[in-house]
This record gives sequence, C-alpha cells and structure tokens, in this order.
Amino acid sequence: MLKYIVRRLLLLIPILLGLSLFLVVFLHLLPGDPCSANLGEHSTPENLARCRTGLGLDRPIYQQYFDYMAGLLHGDLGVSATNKVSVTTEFAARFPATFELTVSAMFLAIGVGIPLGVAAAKRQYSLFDNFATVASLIGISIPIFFLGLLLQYLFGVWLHWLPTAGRYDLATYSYDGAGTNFLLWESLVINHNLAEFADVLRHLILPAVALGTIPLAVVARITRSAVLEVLSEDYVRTARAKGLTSKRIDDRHVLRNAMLPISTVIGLQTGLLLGGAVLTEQIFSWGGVGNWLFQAAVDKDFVVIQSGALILATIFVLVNLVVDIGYAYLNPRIRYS
Amino acid sequence: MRKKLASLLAIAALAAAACSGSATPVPGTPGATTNPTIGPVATPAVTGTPVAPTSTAVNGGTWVFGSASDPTTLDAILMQDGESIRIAQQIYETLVKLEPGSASTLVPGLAKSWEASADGLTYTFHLQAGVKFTDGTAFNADAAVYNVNRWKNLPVPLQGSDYYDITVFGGYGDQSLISSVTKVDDATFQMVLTKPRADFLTAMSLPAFSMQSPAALQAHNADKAPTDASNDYWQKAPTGTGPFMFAGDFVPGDHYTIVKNPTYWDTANAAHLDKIIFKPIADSAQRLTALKSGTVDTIDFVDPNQLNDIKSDSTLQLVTRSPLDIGRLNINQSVKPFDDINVRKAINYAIDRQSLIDAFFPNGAGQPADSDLLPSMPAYQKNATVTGFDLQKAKDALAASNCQAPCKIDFWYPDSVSRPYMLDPKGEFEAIRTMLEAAGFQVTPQHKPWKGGYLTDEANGVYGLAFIGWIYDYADPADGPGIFFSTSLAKCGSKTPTTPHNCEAAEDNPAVAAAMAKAIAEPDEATRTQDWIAAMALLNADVPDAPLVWAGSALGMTTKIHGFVPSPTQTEYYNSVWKS
Repeated sequence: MLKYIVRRLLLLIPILLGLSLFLVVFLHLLPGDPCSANLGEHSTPENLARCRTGLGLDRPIYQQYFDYMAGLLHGDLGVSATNKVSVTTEFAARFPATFELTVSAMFLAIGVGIPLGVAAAKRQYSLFDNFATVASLIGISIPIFFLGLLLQYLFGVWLHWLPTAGRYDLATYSYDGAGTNFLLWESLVINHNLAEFADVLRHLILPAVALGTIPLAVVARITRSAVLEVLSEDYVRTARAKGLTSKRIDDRHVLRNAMLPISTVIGLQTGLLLGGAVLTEQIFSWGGVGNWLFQAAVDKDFVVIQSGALILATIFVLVNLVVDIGYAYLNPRIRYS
Repeated sequence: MRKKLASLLAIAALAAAACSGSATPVPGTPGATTNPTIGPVATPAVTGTPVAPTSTAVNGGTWVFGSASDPTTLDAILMQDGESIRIAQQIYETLVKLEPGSASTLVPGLAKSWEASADGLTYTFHLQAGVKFTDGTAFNADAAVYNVNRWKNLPVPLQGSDYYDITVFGGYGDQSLISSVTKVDDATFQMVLTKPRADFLTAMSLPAFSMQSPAALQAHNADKAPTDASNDYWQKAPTGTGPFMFAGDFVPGDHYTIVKNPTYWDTANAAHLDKIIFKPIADSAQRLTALKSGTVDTIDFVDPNQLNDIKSDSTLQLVTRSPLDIGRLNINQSVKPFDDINVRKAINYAIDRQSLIDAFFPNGAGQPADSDLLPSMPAYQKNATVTGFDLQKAKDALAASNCQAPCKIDFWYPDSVSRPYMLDPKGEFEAIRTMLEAAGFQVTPQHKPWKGGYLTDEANGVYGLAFIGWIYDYADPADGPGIFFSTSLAKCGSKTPTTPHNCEAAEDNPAVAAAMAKAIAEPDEATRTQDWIAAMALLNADVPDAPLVWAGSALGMTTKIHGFVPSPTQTEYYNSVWKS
C-alpha cells in the first residue's frame, strides 16, 4: 500500500511539470497582459513598456518560466501582478472559504443523496422512485446561477430569512483573532460561541444548497443504480434466504458494495468543488479560490493562474488518492501493490 | 451662489497674486477643511446630490460598504484603481485636499498653508502641528521630505506600477519634475520644480500623493519589488494620519476593515463611525441584492437600470455623483480613411447622441457630450467638437471626402467590460453602427477583450475607430486631452517616431501640442482658462475624436446612513458619515 501511495505521489511530478509547461505557453499566447489590465484607460505605450519591465514581463518566455520554476522548487509560488499579494498568502486566506463551502455542499449531497438513492432503489418503479428520479434530473439540469439567484431572491430579499453575500455578519462579528479563516472551526472550537457558529451556518445555507444540488442529484442517481445492481446479486438473495434482517443485509452487504461507484463520484465531485465553484462564489460574493482564479484569468495574472492551477491539480490528485485508498477499506478484495 | 462667489473670489485672489509678479503667498487657513475660499487653484465646484443633512450626528457603529472589487494596493504612490483609492482616502491624507464634494477647490490637508513663488517653481508648505501617524511616529517635515523623495527617486522595482507619479512628475531622479525637496524647519519644507506646472497643487491632492509613515514603509520593505513577498506593507501595515486606520483585518476576496483613529489630529473632523467594512461584490445586480437583503448598508456603482428600483424603496436612498468622465470614439488619423478630416466630420454628424443616451444611460445616468471637456470646467465651450446630429451634413461630409459611400471602415469595440461611460459596449456599438451606415459607411465589426489585447492595441494606435473613455482625477483639461492627445518620441507599437507623435490618435498638429504645453504651464488661472480654450479650439478644428457621453454614477444606501458627501472624482471622505 505504501509503495502504491508513493508511486501515485511521484506521478504528481510529471503531471505538474506538464501542466506548468502547457500553461506558460498557453497563457503567453493569449492576447493582453497584467499591465494593460492594471492600467486600464491609462494604458499608453510608455506606461505599458515601463510596467512590463517592472513586472519582468519583457524577459523571454523561457527565462520567465525557469525563474518561476526555480522559485517553485524553493517553495515560492510567486506574487500576484495585480494585488502584489503572494499566492501562498492569498491561497491560505481563500482556501478555507472554499473548503467549508465544499464540505457543506458535499455533506448535503451525501447526507440527502445516498438515502434518497437507496430508498428509490428499494422501491423501484414506485411513485417515490419516479419522484426521486424526476427530482434528481431537475437537480442535475438546473443551472447554478439560476438556482442561486432564485434562492437569494426568495430567502434573502423577499423573506429576509437568510443573508445573500459573504461568510458571516460583518457588522456583528470579527474573526481577526485566530486568523485560520476556518470560521466553523473558529466559532465553535476556538471561540466557543454558538451564536457565531449559527451565524456562519446561516451564511452557508444558500451557497451550499446552490452548490450541492448538482452533486446531490448525481449521488442520488448513482446510488440508486448501484444499489439496484447489488440487490440483484446472488449473495444478497442468499443472505435473505438465510433469514438475515433487512437492515443487516443493507448495512453489511448492499451499501458496502454499492459504495465503490458512489465513492468514486463523491471523490471526483469533491475534487472539482475544492478547485473552486466559480459561479456560486460569484453569486454569493464568497471569497474563495474559484472567484480568485476567475478574476486572475480576467486580469491575465499569469503567476496566480499558473500557481493556482498547480495547487488545484495537486489537491485533485490527493483527493482521488484518498478515494482509491478508501476502496481497499470498502472492499478487502482490492489490494494495491 | 455663495459658494460660487467664494470660489470666484479665490480665483481673483490667485490671479492678483500671480499678476503682481511678487512672491506674495496665497495661504490656506488652519483646520478649515470645509472652507471653499482657500487654495490657489479654486474653480467652481462640481458636485453631486449629497445625502440631506438630518439630525445631529451619532457617533459609533459599523458601516458595511458593498464595493465593486478588492483593492490592489495601499502603497499610495502605486495606487491607480478606484477601490484602493476608496480605502486609502480614509487612512491617508495629502498635503492639500479637494474640498468635500468638489472636483477642483483645494483646502488645507496636512499642510495648513502654502506659498508658491512668482515663477511657479518653488512651493513652500507649512505643516499642521501635532500630527502623528497611526504607528505613533510624528508627521513632520522629515516625514514629508522622505515621502517626496520616494516619489522623486522611486526604487527601480516599483517603477512602472506608479501611474500618477510618472504622469505628474514625468520621470525619476534628474528626469523628475521635482528638482529638489528640502526641510526648512520641523514644520516647513520646500519643493522646487524644474518647470512650472499650473495644476501642480491640484495634482498634489491626488490620493497617490498621500503621506505614509516612513517607519512603516521601511519596516515592511515597501521599496522592494511589488512581486517580492517580503514587501507586505499594504497588507500588513498601511500607515497614515487619516481619521481611520488599518486594523489588521484584510481578508482578500472577503472584506477589508478599517477602524476609527482614536488619536486623529483634527478633532473637529474626527470620524463618527467606529468601523467601516468594505465587502467586495463584483456584480451590480448582486450588490443591489445585498443592499436589499440588509447584508450591506451601502453599494456603489448602481446600474442605471436599477436606479428606479432604489428610488421606489422607502428604506433606501439614492446618492448621485455628477459626471467627470468622457466616453468617446477615438479616431486614429494614421489609419485610412480616417486621415481625411471629412470622414471624421461625417462620423461626428452621423451619431445621434441623445438616442444613444436614451437607450443606454436611462434615468438621467448620462448626458450627450459635445466636447472632451465637461461643462463644469471653465475652459468648456458648448458644441466644441460637433454641432449635433445632422444626417444630411454627415452624408455631405462623406461625399466631400476621399472615401465615397459605401465607405468601408473597421470599427472596434471591447468585450468583457463595462465602464461608467461605456456600460454596454456591444449594444452601443450596434446602435452607432446603424447610425454610421445610414450616413453611407459600411462598417466591419471588430472586437477584442478589454484586458485581452484591446487596451494595448488601442494605446498603440492599431485601431482606426474605437470605443474608449477617460475618467478625470480632477476637473482640469490637463488631466484629459492634455494626456490622451499628448505627443512624445516614445515607441508607438513597433515603430519609434522621429518627431513627437500622438500614438493613440495621431493628433500630431505641432500648433495643438504647443498650445496645450503653454496652457499646462500657465500659473495664472484666468489666463490658463483662456489658453485652454485656445488649445481646445485648435484641437477640435482637427476633429480628433467623437465625444459621446458624460456619465455620472450613483450609490444606493439605506436611509440609516447620513452625512455622505459625493464627489465627481469619487475620492470621498467618510469621516463625516454616521449611522442612525
């Protein structure tokens, strides 16, 4: 197992090298640069030239690439050309926001999606099954921006039940103490303040529902088909013939075997969401990774795009590695060597 | 009326001082930051509609402000975007300030008074007493000299990120407009210029020329390259003397908090609020939603289509700013057929600006422009460039040109952008295209992303006819046509000109360049106004562009917010704001 993990981690090196090379070539082929983005109407040939020299953009591409990679080997992910904040600092500030949103959305997707899928499979072709199928199809096809705006208007503007932007009530609370930016953690574990915790949760509800709806529908659909497949297996029929209770069969045989395809989907979805949910973060003014990288792309902030992509690729590979390791736990027949 | 009279008196005082040929000072008055009669460059104020004064101000409270984006730096000399300036304006102060709400009237800031020598080269600043930076160090002549020297000798790694520094002072070291800066005594220092610049004092009111704590700048390596991670000055310790101060709570993408400066020197103008939190919300519709749901107290840059939405809500109020910008079509005379003045005239006559305003700047959000200057500027002349929409004149002008109908032209507009003067570039393009085609042009649409090559190409004179615009920093032609129609020997695209060249529009008329240079240097306000009228007449005779719109902007806020004074320059002071 250890050998397998090391091999998977070593695979990161060619992945990251290839990705960085692709990005450096691709980004420099695109028209525009951070200077025209920063200068706006103040762009004149003189100002542009001076700015390009200041940011080192007038160096040959290969030199920029080697300098960047040399920094990377020393753990330096570079500094944004737009706001001059180091990528490491900004990522550390924004990742907790994305992480909490992803975890909440996936909590919703798993907590509702799996029971929904199992229940639908066990009542195949029933009214409930049909309802669940239609609901999950709607969930998959509804655009996030539409759902987000709808939720905002309904629960924020109309009913005034829930906030529509940000991670907490800025006017009431302050989180400049511990500075982890993991607000659920800080409010509950560090500050021991239930009111703060509830406030953070309130702010999470709408974006988590908007972001979690698609994964929820996907998980429900996959769960239903996986459970149906397992239910028709001989060993389930045998277990039933042996007189095992329905609950025991579900827990020990059906769910555990069905979890393999479900965990694959959960892993992929989590990896994708951790990369930042651009639309949700934009709609709910969520200071996460997605919003940041989107703006960096608009501003042609090469260093941020490059380093951000490398970090996200690493996260994606790691999440999927965790899922693969999880397979071995779920199904002892799977052995990695 | 009283305000205008006072401003005129100030102009008269300045004119008298300059005409006398002596070094008679035109001093400011200590602490009178709302006195409009003070300052050597005082012109009628351009204002918006301020929040109506209500009952007595209440101290305390937190104001959550929905801004449009994150700031990009708070090292003042490197700032150029509005959201950075918005925060900086509250934590830093300049030697002279614009009167709240004005785009041109100067009042004392960190300098309680100042004198200009008769030749317009030497400025002596007398500093306010007892001022401290929020890190506890003293603001005195040493600190002021340190800051001015930093502008003059900006460290090489920072050069190129300092738009205002290079625009106002023209270069670094020996190339700078600043010849020398010397301390006279603890409360006095002198700046000597290499040549007169009439708008020098007004330029000194720009937030980029704020005074920052030398100790904080040094401790946080502010002189190292902005891309050097050890330079964390703006994120960790932006330190000024203003009514608000940095509180260590900047979370990129989420919020930026500043708190009341408890030891602010100007006690009469101390902040009412305890705290201001800037919450970046990029989309204007999302900003309105956040305001309506109570997530924020105030939003800026309300979309013109949302103005009525705010007006009709009894819990909200609308605060408007007068225009101080110009949306225009740049016409590049080095690209055929735009080298023909009749083609340029035909374009101007063909555009029905009023219908453009009705369609794209509804609810009074914009006015049809007939000049690159604004009516609030003394040098403005009505119908300077165009005498209004006239289709027949457009057809006649085209018929008289070297490009007969259908005259084929490329017409450029930017993608992925919305600016105050250009809210819907594609929509406006389509409308103008129809107008031009009615006059006999055959338009080929061309477009590129604003930040994806459009700005660079436009600046390098690649496009013949293209949308562009300008937001003035203060109401002076030197900060508009004086910049975008200036000539230089700098590289233009791939070519290096041998004679002074205007890269963007190829407006290379030497008579225009000489007239603008004279106006920019003229220290006497009245003479300068006449110089600018003459320069603009020469410029407009060349029909160098097609002005389209002067657009204002608006803020939406809850009725609990009071004391907000809008400024056309958008550099507003929040110390007067309070929350009920």
